[in-house]
Amino acid sequence: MMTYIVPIVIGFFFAFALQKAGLGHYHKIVNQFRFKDNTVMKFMMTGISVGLVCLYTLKDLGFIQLDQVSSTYILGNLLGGLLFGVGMALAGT
Amino acid sequence: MAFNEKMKIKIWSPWSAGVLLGLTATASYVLVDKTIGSSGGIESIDSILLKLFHSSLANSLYFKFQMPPVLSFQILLFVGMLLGAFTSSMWSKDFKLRLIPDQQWTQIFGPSKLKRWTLIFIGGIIIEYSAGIAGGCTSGLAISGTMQLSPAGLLFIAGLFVSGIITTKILYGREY
Repeated sequence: MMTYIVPIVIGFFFAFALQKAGLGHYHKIVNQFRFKDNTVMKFMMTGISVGLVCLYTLKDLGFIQLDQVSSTYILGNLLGGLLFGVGMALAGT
Repeated sequence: MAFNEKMKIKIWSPWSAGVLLGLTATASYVLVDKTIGSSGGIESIDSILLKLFHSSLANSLYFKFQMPPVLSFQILLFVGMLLGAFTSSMWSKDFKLRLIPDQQWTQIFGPSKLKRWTLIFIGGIIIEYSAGIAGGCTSGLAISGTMQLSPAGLLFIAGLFVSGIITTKILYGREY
């Protein structure tokens, strides 16, 4: 039962944060690429910094192991990112 | 300010929303040992659909082993995400159904609904396809990947911004 409840609760807060940052709006995403509104960058970088500090603290205290690290394929990641940006700018999502 | 008042604000400062995101991502890591992501869920749903309709694609290596047709963590995450975004927007009375985004789109591209829907459909296909190539999307690779100091996430962010800026520049032309 817990295996079904926990992901739903996590998703709830994840989307809550996204919606509260206003990232459901087309103009928020596209204006980041126009450098008129830096919400996306601020939101992403705060999320990354907070998560990074928490994760590495927990890891050093021995509560978790960092075993989910995304694997790096330089060409794949870079090409995927380049294509992704096109889609993101077109759809604004 | 009271809790209820805070929740009724339509748009928080990106810093505070970002802190909530970071804590959520950590909680996901600690509680279920999985990272937050959303593009993988769509591919799992694809995989389930392909198997349901006995498509020959379901036997391909990718849909058999990389994205097996099971009720994955990310599909459950979607359920929560729908609920979360709905609650958040209802609470702040930001919820509305619309076919075209506000103002900015109409100013640049005109009021055609077909154009908006075509572009968002094409954009969606490109997003999902490239997420498959890169191995994650903005949340799965850029946020969760960089959080664990994986170079993949940083490469992805770099690529995303380079082409995003160029595409927007082309789309907007002189209005950029």
